[in-house]
Amino acid sequence: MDLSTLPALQALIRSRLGAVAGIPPDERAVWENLHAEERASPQRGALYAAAVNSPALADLSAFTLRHKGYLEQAVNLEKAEPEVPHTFDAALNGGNHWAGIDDNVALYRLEDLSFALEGSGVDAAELQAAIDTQRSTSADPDARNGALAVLQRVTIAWNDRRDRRPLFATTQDEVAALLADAGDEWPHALRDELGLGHYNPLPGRPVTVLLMRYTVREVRQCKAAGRQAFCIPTVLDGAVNPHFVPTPLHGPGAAGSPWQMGRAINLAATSESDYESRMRAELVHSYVDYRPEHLDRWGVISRQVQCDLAQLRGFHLSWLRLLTDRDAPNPPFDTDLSHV
Amino acid sequence: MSEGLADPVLADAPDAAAQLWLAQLAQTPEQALDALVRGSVWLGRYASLDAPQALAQFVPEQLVETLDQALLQWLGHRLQQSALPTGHTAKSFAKALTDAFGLMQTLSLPLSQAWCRQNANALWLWLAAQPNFASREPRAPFLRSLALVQPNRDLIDFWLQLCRQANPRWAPLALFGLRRMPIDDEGTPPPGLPMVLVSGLVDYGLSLVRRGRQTHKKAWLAELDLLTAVYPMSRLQWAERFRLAMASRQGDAVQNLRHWLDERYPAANQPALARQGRQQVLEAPHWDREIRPLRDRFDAELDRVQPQLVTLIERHRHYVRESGDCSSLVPAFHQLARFLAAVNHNGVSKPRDPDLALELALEAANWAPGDPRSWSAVAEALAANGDWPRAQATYWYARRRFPYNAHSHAQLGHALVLQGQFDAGEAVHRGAIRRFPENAVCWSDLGHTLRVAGRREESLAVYREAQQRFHRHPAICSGLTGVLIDLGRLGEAKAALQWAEQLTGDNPRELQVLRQLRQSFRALADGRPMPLRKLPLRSELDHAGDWQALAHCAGMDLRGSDALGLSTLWRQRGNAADAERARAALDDAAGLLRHGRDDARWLAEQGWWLQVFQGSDAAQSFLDQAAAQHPGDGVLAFLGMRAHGQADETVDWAPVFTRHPELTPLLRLAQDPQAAMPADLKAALASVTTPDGVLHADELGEDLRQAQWVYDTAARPEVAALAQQDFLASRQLVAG
Repeated sequence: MDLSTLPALQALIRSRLGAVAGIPPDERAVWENLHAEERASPQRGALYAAAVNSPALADLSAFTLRHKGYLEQAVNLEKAEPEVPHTFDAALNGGNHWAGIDDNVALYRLEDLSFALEGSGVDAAELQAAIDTQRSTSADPDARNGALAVLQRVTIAWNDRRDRRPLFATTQDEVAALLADAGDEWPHALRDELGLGHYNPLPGRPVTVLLMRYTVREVRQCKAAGRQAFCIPTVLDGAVNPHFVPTPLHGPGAAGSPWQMGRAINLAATSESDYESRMRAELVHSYVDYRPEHLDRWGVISRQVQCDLAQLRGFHLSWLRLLTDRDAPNPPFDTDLSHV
Repeated sequence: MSEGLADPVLADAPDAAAQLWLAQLAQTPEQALDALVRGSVWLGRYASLDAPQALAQFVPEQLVETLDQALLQWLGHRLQQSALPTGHTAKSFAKALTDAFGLMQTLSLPLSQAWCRQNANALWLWLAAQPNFASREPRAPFLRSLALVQPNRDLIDFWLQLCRQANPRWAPLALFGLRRMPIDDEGTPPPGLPMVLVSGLVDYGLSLVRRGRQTHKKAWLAELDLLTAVYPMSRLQWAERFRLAMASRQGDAVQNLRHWLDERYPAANQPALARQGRQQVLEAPHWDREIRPLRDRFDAELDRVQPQLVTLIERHRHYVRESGDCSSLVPAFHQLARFLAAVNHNGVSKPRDPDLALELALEAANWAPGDPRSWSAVAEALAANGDWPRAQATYWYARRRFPYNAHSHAQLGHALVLQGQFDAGEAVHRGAIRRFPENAVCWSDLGHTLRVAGRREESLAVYREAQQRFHRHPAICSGLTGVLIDLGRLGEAKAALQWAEQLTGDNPRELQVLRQLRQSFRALADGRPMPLRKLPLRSELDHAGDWQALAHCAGMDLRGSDALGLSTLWRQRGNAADAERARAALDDAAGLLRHGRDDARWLAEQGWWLQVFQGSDAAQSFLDQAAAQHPGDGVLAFLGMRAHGQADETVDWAPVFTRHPELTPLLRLAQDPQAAMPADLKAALASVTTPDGVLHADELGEDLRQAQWVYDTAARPEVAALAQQDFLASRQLVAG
């Protein structure tokens, strides 16, 4: 983004770069992302600037609050609000819309069970049992009907409490093998492969997650979304997140459409050489009503993320530059904060 | 910060930013929590999560109690405030509250949970006036948090009230609360399907039936299916549970609910199979068979009757706690309460047992706070206890909450007169006549008030007018006769007495009044008129008891209800001379109401006062400001919008419709003053109307009564404006 249009933010970043102790990798990631983001249109950038610019920003916490304010006003909109979330507004973000995605593609998304049940009249054990029963091939019809009643109840209450924020997801092709091979480890494997570093519990504080599976068609057909779309994610589409990396505009020599989608940072990678094969596609799409059959499985994340974020970002950015033809001699995909 | 990070407890946190916040939590707990739920904390790798999901992962056990204390303080401070806290938008505050209750869930914070349990009613009402949005709705996690941790059965009445209110958003969570409630106060979890849960489901269904929408059937059956799924039992067992729960329910709605039940458990509507052996059936005491005979012998055989009555009262309590069915306790307790609080009986001029009366009345109000009879009993019991401050507040509260109930007006008027507040009493009775011009009792009350105030000519004029309207009403003709005797108008009194003799039936009270009239008339005819009796004014103590007991039932502190009510009364009377009285009462209210001049009720009343006495412009700008500071209060939003509409500005009502469905009747009328009563309300009324046309409005919930009141009066301009003001005022006393 052109940070000169965001003087408060620019001043903050500059002051933070001057900190004697240096800045932690996660904070650096946030500033790099904002600096490097190329996909925010000038119109959208201006609206963002209006929300973020003044008064002066004291620190990253203040910026986080201001960024949340923007999301609250313009992106994470209620279903009852008539406006279109900026992400899905073609006039503001049309360049990042991905119209060609096939209706039959299955999408996967991870959700936190505690969030799903926050206002529900079903408890966690009942939900888990119902998902298991629905997946079981040996459950009798009464048990299945009972499970369906529970799942319907959960999804209806959950949908009622969801807004129209952009939903991060990946495609079946990206995770099918992983889900088939990882066994009970699938939640950890998925967390790491999709860069979901916010699932990082202390020992003894496991996080129960739900794997949601639905199709592109279902997203397209969801009227409650107001405006349906699939997009390459930008820093303006979600919360400030050090595990996110924006996708560059691709250069003239880049391969075809595969690089016109987002790529998740891989938290399990250990070397740069094989990193490219582990860069999973990520996209954001408009609201979809969850239905019982979308609750594919549940699992538990109990181990912490083991990674060096700065190193992984280095791997990720190198490959992104290469694959999008944004290495020298073309204009580089610039994350160098000394240019801020 | 460096001190905090040196702490090994904090160093365990897997993220430097999270450690930093934990250090702040340890040093300044409430400020740290406030910053967190405001969203102004950088949590490093957890930054993309909401607070409840983030903290559940990294708060070390050693700091959970600190967090719990911080949340407790934070919630306590929020509850003290009415206006939007500085620096928040409506959305961000709604989110902050949602996250606060989310934290209670994900970290199971016992101190906060216990405090929320103790203040459930007050919090519920307070939350209803806070900003909320579908995805930022604090009430859902609040209810779930309460449901998940219940060490005793304290919330049974709270859950059942929510079931009876039948809001499709909250009733399912109330049923969840009943599901998770222990079977005793030692926290024993229910071994199977709790009877009280079936009772809650039946109450929910009955309330939905009364709302008259077929779509509600689907919602109710979905709840039934959910319970069937989580409590696997045979169909016969389910049918038996429903048969028992339905057996004690009365009213036309029961039949309709049976039709719904037929779709799942038709056997529940069949006679029970013969039982093997003896089984004890849980039953409430029967009013006609068991309690009323004791009540009738109470004065004559006090020593023998009292212990039996206490036993029946205990049986009622046991039944309702086990079954969740309060349909017999509530009427029994408020009738008993009024009986025990009555002052004049058998020549005795003191109440029978005012303490027990108050206890029973409060229990009735606790179980059924939406029933005007409960509050009527509470007020009478307080008056019988000599507690005028609380009695007065309760009378005014009841009038504000149940404006459709003529008795709530009459009772307040009587109480004021008995206190010697003739002017206010008269104004209340005149206000009642404006609202219920076809109610003879309202006219009689006004005539009586003027008579005892010594304004007999005015009293006569009222009775004369009433005589034209209600030619065959015993109270009117006896009142008229009495005042004519007072005035020494022998001829007219004779005619009136003859008329009274024709109308008086065999009601003992009417016969007693007639005897007294005859005696007075004879004395007048003999030239020795009886001296005019002075009204025995009550000499109450000015000592107020525990306000908290009332707040527990009402969900709000009732202090200031009287001053606020007086302000409304004088303002609605609308005389220029009343402006100052209304102003003074409003200023008094500001000193008494919990949130003073920030109280939304006060702000609404101030808006009306400005409108009436200072004009639309002043009211409009005041209401704009008030609505902006209280974005969750639908009444202020409505008043602000209406002020703009009255200034011929274009007003978009849609957002108010969406956010405040509880105001729907008024919003429809604001858009179309001729709007007809909607079909579902008509159906609801039909469902409580007998084939011979008798409407049992008491069977409807108070929201339906309010709606009916507004629609019924809409076509009568002389009443419509008052009824609509009443509707708005009452909406600020109940959760939406």
